[in-house]
Amino acid sequence: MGVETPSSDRAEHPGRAAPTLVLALGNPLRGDDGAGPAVLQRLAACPLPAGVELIDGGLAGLETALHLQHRQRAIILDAADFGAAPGTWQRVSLDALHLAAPDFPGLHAAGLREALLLGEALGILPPDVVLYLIQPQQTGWGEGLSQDVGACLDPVCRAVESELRGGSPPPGDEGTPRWRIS
Amino acid sequence: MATANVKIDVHHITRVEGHGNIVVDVKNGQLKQCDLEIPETPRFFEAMLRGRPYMESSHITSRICGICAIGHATASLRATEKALGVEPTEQTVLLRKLNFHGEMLDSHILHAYMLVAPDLLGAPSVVPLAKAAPEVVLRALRMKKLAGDLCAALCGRHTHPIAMTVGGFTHFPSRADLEGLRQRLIDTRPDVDATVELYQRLKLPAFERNTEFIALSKPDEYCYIDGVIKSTDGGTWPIEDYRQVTNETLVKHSSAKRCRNQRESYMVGALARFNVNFDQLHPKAKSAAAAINLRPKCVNPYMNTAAQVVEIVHCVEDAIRLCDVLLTRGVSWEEPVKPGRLSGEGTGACDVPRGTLFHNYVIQDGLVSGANCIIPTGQNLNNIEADMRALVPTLLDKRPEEITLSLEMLVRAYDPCISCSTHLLHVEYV
Repeated sequence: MGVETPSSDRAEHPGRAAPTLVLALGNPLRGDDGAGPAVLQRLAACPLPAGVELIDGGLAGLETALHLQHRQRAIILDAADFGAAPGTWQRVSLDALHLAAPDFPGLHAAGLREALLLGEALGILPPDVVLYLIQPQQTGWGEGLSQDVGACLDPVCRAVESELRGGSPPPGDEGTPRWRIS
Repeated sequence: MATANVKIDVHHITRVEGHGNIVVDVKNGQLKQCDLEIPETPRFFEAMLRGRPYMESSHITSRICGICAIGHATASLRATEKALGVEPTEQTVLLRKLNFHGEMLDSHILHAYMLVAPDLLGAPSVVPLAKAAPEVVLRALRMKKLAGDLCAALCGRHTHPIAMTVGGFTHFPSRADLEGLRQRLIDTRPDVDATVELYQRLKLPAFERNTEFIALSKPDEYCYIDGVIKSTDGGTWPIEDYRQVTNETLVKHSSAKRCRNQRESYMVGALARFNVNFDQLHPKAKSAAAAINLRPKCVNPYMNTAAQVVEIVHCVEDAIRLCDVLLTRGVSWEEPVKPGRLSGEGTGACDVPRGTLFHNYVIQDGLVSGANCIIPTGQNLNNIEADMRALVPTLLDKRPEEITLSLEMLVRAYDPCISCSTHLLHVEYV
């Protein structure tokens, strides 16, 4: 299975969107921010069930909400600073994310949070949205993942693959109220 | 009853790029202060270029702006090419024009739908608007995505382009890419029509103040790249004479320089282009302008957003035409044209979404030894303040919050990119 870059318009058409989306976000040129795309590359090499589409969403903008439209399920892979040791990863449901914001102060720099807020307001989010969040060590200039983040790619990939096959998801940290999405 | 004393202090205007403050002080019915303060730190991009190889200039300066990245890259490349005697091929010129339409569409859709429409539809921001009118916001997202995909197909990505280089491109769209984009542009026509219908219904504020409008111009096309500098007050200037038009000066309350030409201020941007170059618009864009009741010469700055909507029509139709031209002639791999020399001075100019952008470089032995970038928002600041000074006295019978909203909407109409101009919003009633 290959990875789609966001150049097609399938997601905008209900008949063309696969029911399950795995969406990786992040910039591989900023160190561990490339963790999500790296997991996606591993998933692309796995025999996945039908009805799954892999998209490398790059740096999330408002249009990211369109990728989520007409789906039953979305799994988002992203780096996130949640104050844990580098390479620590968590499966978090959308309900556990603190998305509320007073306004949209920075549309010129909208990211995943803004896209999810907009998707929620538009009523186009899938019923099932989960995020696999990976704690980076560094997100400075340069390619390549840190050793600790590189070491977590296979376990994250296995967990996502298992979830796509209908296996039990790994335990999440649904009780943690606040997450900062990088 | 007129308000004798009004103090307005808007610290950081929302729904604009960067930080700006509006400060208004009316005492005994007399306007004492009416400033658009720009408190942002200068960014020193010109200094960053000095000593760097000429090939890096477009990549460094595209970082001036995440919205006009392609505009900066194109102006930068044209400056370098002129300095070093590079004449781009017909294919490069066609690809740059198509690429430019993608960025123009992306920026105009963001402004018309996400930044301005909430004011006109009575929503505080785009999120409540998405709840109240989801079809409007979904339309905007669809159109924005197409614009971004167009840019990605031509120059690798929109923010920041990687395939644009001195003398040409390092990546070329396939025939399938162009055929796909052409079909999606055709399919987006109903969304474009709906955008025009939306702005037929929305009531933009009525306010008029005559001013000078400046844009790049060519006799045979609605100009975005190259051409000559043209004024509605009369006169044309070669791009190389940009300093005679911009006449930059400093003011105490702004870290962005101010510009003036034949009056105390001038305006650049979509409304200026519309006023200067109306004859060259695509016939469908002229029809859209008539439908929105926009006619040249329009001197209502709030209509800048309406002019952007007209340009959305133009850019979609011209992008379809360009796809047809490229598909007919074919796109082949071309090595970038090599410089004929490694020293020289050149000025590049483009009309980017917010107005005319100038880059001037001096290159010595392949290294940049001097650079000057004059950004559209900087050229508009004097004009915004002049509008504010004319507008405030007409608003004194209104409540302070209504005055504030009118001023914020005025500034937003210019679609200012404040961070770019600080080489600009917060309304402050003092």
